[in-house]
Amino acid sequence: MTEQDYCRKVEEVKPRLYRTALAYLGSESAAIDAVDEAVYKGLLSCPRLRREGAFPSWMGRILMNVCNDELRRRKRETTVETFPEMAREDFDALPLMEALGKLPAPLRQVVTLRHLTGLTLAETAKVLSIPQGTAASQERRALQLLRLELSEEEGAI
Amino acid sequence: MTRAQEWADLLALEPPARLMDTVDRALRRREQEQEKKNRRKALLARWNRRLAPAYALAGAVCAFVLVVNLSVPFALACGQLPGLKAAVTAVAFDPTLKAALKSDYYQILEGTYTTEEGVEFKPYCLMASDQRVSLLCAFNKGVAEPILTDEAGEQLGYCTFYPESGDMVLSNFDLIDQELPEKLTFTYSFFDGGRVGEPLSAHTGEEWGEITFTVPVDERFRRAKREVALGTTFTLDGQTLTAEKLILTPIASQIVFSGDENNTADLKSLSFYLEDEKGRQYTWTGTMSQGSGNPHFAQDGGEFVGNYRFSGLYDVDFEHLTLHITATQWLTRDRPDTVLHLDTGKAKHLPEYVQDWWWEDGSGTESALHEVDPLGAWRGLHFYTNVDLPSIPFVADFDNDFSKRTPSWDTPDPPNPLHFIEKVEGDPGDTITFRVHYDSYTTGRDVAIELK
Repeated sequence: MTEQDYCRKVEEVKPRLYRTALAYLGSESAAIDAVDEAVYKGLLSCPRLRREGAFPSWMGRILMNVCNDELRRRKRETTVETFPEMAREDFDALPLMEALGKLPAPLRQVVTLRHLTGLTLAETAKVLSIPQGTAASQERRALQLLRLELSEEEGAI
Repeated sequence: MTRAQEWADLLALEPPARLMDTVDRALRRREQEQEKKNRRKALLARWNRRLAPAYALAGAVCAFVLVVNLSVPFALACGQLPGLKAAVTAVAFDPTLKAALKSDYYQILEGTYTTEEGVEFKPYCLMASDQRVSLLCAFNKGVAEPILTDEAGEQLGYCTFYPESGDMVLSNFDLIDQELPEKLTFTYSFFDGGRVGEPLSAHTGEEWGEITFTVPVDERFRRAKREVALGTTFTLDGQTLTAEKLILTPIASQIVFSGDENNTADLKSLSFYLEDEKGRQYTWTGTMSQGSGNPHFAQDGGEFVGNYRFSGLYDVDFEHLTLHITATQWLTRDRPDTVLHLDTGKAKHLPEYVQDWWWEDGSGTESALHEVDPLGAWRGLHFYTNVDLPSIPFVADFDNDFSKRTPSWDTPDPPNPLHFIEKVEGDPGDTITFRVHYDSYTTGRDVAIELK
């Protein structure tokens, strides 16, 4: 991908990148830094991107890695098996952003990539290096926990 | 508000204004990183040009070849070092290494280290004293930037030459006002720096990883140290000094001085050589400066905690010793700090050897005496002098007033020895205060003082 094409495409997806980073990291300043970093890393790597069609998942992977680096730095990761110990009704009462923040990392990754970055299930599975079936079940679980019913079209690029 | 409504709000959220120019920021950042890499290459090229004569010597020194008519103990010692038996040839030898091996002043190291990028590094042996740490090693690719630290992670001295892959190399770290710790940690960072003589375009500066390892220091290095008392008092440039003692080790030695409490200036740097009764001379073979006293530690009437160093003399029986002083730097005692007022252009207590100074804000403005880099790359304080100064005149380690700055002394490209720049990060405010390293100096002399 040429640098010119990259700069154009990144401007188009920047709002989605920001919403994804915001949902993932929970703060505006952290989300801005993450998008800045992801855009910079994408600029360095764009000559190696051969298929323009792969841009959404490619950019999504870059952003996800940047966000995960930030979270590792903050040491707030939880695993699928350790869903936060709180009463269901307490979790339901949380604002959306907080609830997203309390989801186990794999679930949070899937739901933000699918419904904020706008990747397909196949693209999401590829970004996270997991089977498509696993991505589908994690998406269902995340939406169930968040009490959200989102369609395929919502948030899609 | 329901979750669905919150989600809809999130989907409708527009990025904040700060992200408007994120692409422009990325482009600028890439440009700055590339400039940094280019400067690093240029710095490496400058070091290579500056050390080219040393390389001619170091080519023999660092390749570690041995004279065939070695003494038996020396040959036996070399034979103990893995892989060296086959390397014995009759070409040249490193005097430091030879002295160390003759005196059993070395520590054999084990292990091989590999980076993800395929650099294989093998340390062979270590020699260490309070003046110098030397590591004999080899690696298979790239150029290395070696750093030495103690147990607390504090850097110990500097290795001013970037070793290249291929033959065995001797990395020498010249310590400054530091004692040998219990453990030494070596970090070697590798990059594609090409080879001496190659054009800059032949290498990319690409980083090839780093290795780190820690070595407990052998006690024999401390046991082998010996002291020779001197107690010789003399007058130099109107000040009274006493050469108190010699501290000798096979790889590096030093003279310890003290200053009279009535002196009006402190010795900041000294260039010298020693001569025995047979006319043999002993000077410093390292690339760092031979001697420097640190004003932060100098005490009135007490011993200087400084490194006035030289090589040799450890295994020499001498009857008489003469100190030949060839250059000095002095700092007037209780000299007030230099103050620069950036808003008015006025200065207080500026050293006499500075003819002009100005502040470059990075916008590429011109000065009265010099055109400034139009890219504003040389942002910082500029100092202009029309005399050939012996060394950088301002102290690099600042107190807390300068903690926001990155002390970095540089000259513009092409190099102009009469024009120094102190790079300053952040907002300096209206006033900058710092300490002068020396305010008077002498060069090109030979003052002989009988020590013993």
